[in-house]
Amino acid sequence: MFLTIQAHQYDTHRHLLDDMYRLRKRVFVDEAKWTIPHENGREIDRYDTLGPAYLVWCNPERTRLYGSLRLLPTTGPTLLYDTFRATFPGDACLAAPGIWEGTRLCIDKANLTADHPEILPVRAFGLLLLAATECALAHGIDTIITNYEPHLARIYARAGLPVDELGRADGYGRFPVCCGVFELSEAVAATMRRKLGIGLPLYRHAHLPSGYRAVSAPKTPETRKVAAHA
Amino acid sequence: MAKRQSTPNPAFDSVRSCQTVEQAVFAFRAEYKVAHATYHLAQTAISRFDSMYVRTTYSAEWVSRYLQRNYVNIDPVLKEGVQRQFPFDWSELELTAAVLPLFEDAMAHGLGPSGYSIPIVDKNFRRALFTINTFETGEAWIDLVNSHKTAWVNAAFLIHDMAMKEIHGSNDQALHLSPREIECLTLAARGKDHKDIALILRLSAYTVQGYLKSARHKLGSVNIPQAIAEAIRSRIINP
Repeated sequence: MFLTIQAHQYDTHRHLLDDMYRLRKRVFVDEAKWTIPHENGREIDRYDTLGPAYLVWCNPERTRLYGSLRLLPTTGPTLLYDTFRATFPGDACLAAPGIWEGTRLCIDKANLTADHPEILPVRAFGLLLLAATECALAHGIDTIITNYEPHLARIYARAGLPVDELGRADGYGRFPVCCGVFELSEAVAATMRRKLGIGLPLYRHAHLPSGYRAVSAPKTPETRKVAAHA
Repeated sequence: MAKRQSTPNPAFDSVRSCQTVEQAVFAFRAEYKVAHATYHLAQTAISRFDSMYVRTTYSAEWVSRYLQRNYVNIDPVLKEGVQRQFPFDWSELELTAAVLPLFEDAMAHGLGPSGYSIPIVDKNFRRALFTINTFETGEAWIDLVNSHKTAWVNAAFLIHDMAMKEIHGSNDQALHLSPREIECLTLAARGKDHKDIALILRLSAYTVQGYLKSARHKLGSVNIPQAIAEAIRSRIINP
């Protein structure tokens, strides 16, 4: 299942977030050799302290993490704005409502292989990107700016979500790091679903057609969950 | 008011032409025919409501009742609104029994049952919340949100800019336009559309639109012609 975790839900999902920090350390520090801060086997930077929204892929019990992505609005402080501005000024400075930054996109290959051996890494990236696209569209986001290693551009294109490279920088890790833009629309999501052979939306952002009037007569005395994030 | 082809959201004009944020929330309410609109600047250091910057169309009676009853301490819209990043429908809130009296009381004082709140975050780490409240419910409300949410988000950021000018005396958000944004805006000022610009700069048309949108946002403008005028006036471009 795919779910978003925002700051007011961090505590509820702290185990998933902790697994995410550990996964990011393995993927970006150990494998990609990015020179980024890490501590106690976890990769956490200052942008994680700004209350980002995380898109998380996990099992239905929410105990096993398969992948994650960090989302921040470009109207506020963002990683790419701060880091890439120094490297190639002008190319990564997009800042407007509707344009968000997606960083630390990663897959837990070990957990996926153990639980879903039929999902190969290329497809796994495709599924996570489709869920990210659906999540973005549900929240009025039409553009995502992102960073990635060059070889991932092919995987993105195969998933039906081509990335438009704005520039690249050396000296961050094993390979150059690219900065690029995803164009998001319902048409793009439909293409991705077709390429991946997916019929139903992966990410559900359910709205109940009622305001709080319906809630004023609660069915359970304590807490009533009004809307479900499938 | 006359609808112009070049302005995708004519409602912005009435909001943007306001002298104060107070007038802007009323103008927003009139344009979108909603029950209420509220801009709320969050202050992290101080939690006392009376020291916060709030501009709202709610009745003075409801605002003073809200303060007297200390609803600020339990209001889930505000509490979660300054933590969330995505705009949210009030139906997404998890309501505990403790907050139900607040919502019932609100409805007894002129608030509608539906709400949509837009978290705002800027480059200076400030957070604010813009909230729309209506009497529409069910499908009518969902349709209203879906057809206007992009415009509402843009309006929310415009009003935030106005609030910053009102508080700080100038637009301290005035960010430097990037060379790419300046190039795109300069070419747009010479009459090129985004497809021409894409060819000239060897970028995708979508990316050009992104740079133009970003430039427009940084210049606090509602459309590209206005952004061009603003950039020329500020001597950022010289087409």
